[in-house]
Amino acid sequence: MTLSVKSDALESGASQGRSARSLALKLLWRDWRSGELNILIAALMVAVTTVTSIGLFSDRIRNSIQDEAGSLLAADAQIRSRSAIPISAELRQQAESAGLATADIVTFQAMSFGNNDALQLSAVKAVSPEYPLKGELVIADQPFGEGRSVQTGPPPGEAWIISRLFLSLGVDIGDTIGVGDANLRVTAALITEPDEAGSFFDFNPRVMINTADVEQTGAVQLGSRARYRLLLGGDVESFKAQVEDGLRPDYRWADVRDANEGVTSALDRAESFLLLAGSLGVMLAGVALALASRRYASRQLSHVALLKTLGLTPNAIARLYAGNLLILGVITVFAGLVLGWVLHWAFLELASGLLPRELEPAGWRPLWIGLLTGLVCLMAFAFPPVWVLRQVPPAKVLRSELEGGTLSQRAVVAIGAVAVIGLVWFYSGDVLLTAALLGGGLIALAGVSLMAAVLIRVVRRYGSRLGTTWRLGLSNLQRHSRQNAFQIMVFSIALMLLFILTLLRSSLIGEWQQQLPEGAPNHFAFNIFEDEISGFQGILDANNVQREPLYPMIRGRLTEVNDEALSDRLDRLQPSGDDFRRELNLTWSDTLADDNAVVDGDWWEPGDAERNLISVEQDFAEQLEIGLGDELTFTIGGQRVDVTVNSIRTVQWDSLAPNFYVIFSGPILDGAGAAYITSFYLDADQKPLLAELLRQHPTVSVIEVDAIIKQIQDIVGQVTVAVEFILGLVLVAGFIVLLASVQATLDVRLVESAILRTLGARAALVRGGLWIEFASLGALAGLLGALGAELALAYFQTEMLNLSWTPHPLLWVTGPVLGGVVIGVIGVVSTRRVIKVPPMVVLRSV
Amino acid sequence: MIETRKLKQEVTSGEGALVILKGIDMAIYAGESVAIVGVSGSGKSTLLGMLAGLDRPSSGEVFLAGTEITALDEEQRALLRGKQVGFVFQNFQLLPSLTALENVMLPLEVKGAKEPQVRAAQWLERVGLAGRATHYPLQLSGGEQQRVAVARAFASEAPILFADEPTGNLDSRTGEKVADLLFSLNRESGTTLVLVTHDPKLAARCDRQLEMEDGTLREVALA
Repeated sequence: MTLSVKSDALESGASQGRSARSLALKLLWRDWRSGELNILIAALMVAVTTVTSIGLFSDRIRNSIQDEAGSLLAADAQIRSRSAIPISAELRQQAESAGLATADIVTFQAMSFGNNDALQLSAVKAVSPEYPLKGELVIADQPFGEGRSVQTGPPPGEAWIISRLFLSLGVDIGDTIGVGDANLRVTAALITEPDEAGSFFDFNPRVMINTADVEQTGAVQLGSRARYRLLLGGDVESFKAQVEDGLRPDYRWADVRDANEGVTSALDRAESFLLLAGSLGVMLAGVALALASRRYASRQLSHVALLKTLGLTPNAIARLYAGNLLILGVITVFAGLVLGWVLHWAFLELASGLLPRELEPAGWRPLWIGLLTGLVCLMAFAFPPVWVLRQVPPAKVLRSELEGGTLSQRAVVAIGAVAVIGLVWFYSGDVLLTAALLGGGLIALAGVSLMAAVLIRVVRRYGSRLGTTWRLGLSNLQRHSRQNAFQIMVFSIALMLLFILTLLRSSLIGEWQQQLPEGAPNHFAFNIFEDEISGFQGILDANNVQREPLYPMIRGRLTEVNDEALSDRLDRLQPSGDDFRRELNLTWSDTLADDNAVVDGDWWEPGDAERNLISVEQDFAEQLEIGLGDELTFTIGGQRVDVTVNSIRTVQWDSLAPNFYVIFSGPILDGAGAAYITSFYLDADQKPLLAELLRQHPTVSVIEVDAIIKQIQDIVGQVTVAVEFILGLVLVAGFIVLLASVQATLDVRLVESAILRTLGARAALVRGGLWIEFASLGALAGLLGALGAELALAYFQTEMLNLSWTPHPLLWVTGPVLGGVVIGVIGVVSTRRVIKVPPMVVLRSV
Repeated sequence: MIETRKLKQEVTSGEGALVILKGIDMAIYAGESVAIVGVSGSGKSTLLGMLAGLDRPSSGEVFLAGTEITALDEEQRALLRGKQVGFVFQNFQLLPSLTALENVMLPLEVKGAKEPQVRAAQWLERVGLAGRATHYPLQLSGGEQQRVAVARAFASEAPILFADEPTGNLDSRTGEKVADLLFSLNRESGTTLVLVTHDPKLAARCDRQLEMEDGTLREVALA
């Protein structure tokens, strides 16, 4: 008998599958029309939309920033030769056959000859006609004149020289100068080169010529100190992967990240932030989705039991609901992708005034990430509560108190946590960040739910003395204390994320703007000799020019560390960063500049000036594994100088004040041969002052960095816009979480309120009770959120963003108040049905 | 048609084990109408759940239409229910998102029957609600909702019908009308009817009455 039922079951199961599908679609359609699925759809949509639009937006910002930063290299990447040998033709061919654009730069020192036997050692830069591949070259028809941008360097036979060289050579536009052995006609004043950031400290004035004229100068010969660069434009990443390992040891790959410290660190911070914000947005949406799905499933329990009594098998139930969810999910995910695209587009349209220029297009990756996020959220957050509906006991139709077919909160949290961790890992590819999030998350969950339970008890005990309405509200809070502890946990995490994002945003933007405040130095002056100091300072001060102190500067080479020759040490350590063999700019000073901070050891004490001590910049020290007490040997002006490391320092390179890897405690070689350096700020109106300054001090070298500063400021502007956009999206996600979690308790509240009103409670009492319940819930969540945010911020600021920790006292006030008000309002507004629906309707439908 | 052997049900709560059914042996034959009566909490509904295969006993056996349902898994029991059993519940148990007609179509669709809409409409007509086919449950009165539920129970054309306090949520006049309908349709279709109630008037309309008391079942001698 049993056997025949089994074979019967197979046959009947198949026909159940077909007819159940049309029933399923009918139920899905009805549930959708009744608004039952609204929160679920909205949450999933927000997850996908957030990730997609953040992805598209940050992809475009990143592409644009890289493009912008690329102009600092005049290319997307450079291959630099450290030896005086031209870059091999083979490498150039490889690059060209990989579809890259190429250009050449050769730099060398040569004597320039002007009128009346004037001569000046100059830094010659010979460029091929393709230069620059990125960014713009600005020249003027007169020295110190108004610039115009051009797309190529000088043609053969011509030279472009910087404005002050006109003065020192005594020439005008149209005159012929000698560059080494070549005679070239000066046809323009060189105002800016896109890639001049790397040549801040080329002491000698720039002469730009065509590569075709290099040979004629006779200045580049075997053994001369010429440097060769191959500029690459296009998709350099794949080419890098292709050639990097086989690159000759004297070649160095340089790309956007190396181009400028300031840009790179801003970019890195922006990336960390966007990544963080994106993950948090998804987490919030995930919580909302899980809550909405749980509520949907719990409202289906009695229906499932009924369908089971009518003969629908557990497998058919699972197929019915899972199938419905899949259909709904796929439609929603695609809608979310479209909405994400539209939203990022609309935002860019709105913000177009704030952005310096049209952004670069995004790739496909953000859409794939959005799709994957949607499917993972669907599977991890929405699916589990619906999947276990198959376990609903059919006898629930007779006794509604029967349990089964619901997931425990623990299981929900566990599945969600795995998904979130997986997603963060996928977005970031960063195990450390993922682990930090996991650890922090677990501690937060445990801590918050414990504290929530304690707080509910405390508030109940003391708050109940305040009157009937309070007693009602707070007893509500206590009565569902397990559920409310869970809700406080959800709210406090949402609020915590909100606080973190708001504060990180303002501290990040503040930090960036602080680094380049209005009036940050935009000109460097060096080669100022001792007897010129007072005259030079006098001109600046007379014109109210803001300036940094003057630092003595002398060039020297590091030759030994603890008696180990530098070349041996470099071979052993293979440091990645700078070229440590080159001459370093050394200084001495008795005061520590504002943008420097000692992280190890001590700054000078009185009497140290005579002791040959040095302070070393942190990265420099790390690369060469230099520590406190190490003995370093420099060769300065042909003399050997032995010094001891007394402190390690951090330097804020993007402050644009003069800064040094190595600072001596007292005058180097008694101050002989030192020239001074400073930086100062000139606005556009003060620009003519430069000509006067150079006319009176023709040997002083001035570098104008205002163009670079503008670039950095533009980038900060873009990043700011991105951050605000993302904050907005995460707020929407947070809002949906609040709605979803309030909705989750709506059914119970309807019944309770109906009973109260049947017993004669006035609507005002019920409403007052709800206010107190939600507002205290929100205030508790706000308090915990503030605590969590303070802890998380301390970690992110110090560990991830390399900023210093600052407490946020205001947060502890605004947190609870904001939580109380926002959650109070959302709670009461979204439960207004509780008061409006006649009690009879509620009690009848139970 | 329905038979139990040593049917026991125990639940463990905080205060120890509670025995709800103390080894019940009974038999109900095809075409009979049987009322299970008893005070609230005597275990009537629990017994009904066991007989209909909605729940599993702690021990003992239940045979339904010749199959030992206590030996089947939930998947197989569901299929058996779909073929053999119809239900009428105290609180109607209509799906609020479906119309009256669609609610009656449910068991037909679950079984994969042909032309479910035509057959469901015929049953609605037989319970006198042809004009209410497109109404949703909340738009119907309690009596009308229960008549839809009765139509749904008979639409599946199952040989056994279980009714759990079918008039419990209705006023006495409406309840009487629903009961009339239930018994007349039962006679016409020749189904076996098992009815749980504490309404003596309703119980009196059945062929047999079984009384649950303290976890045991005894036959009530009819006057």
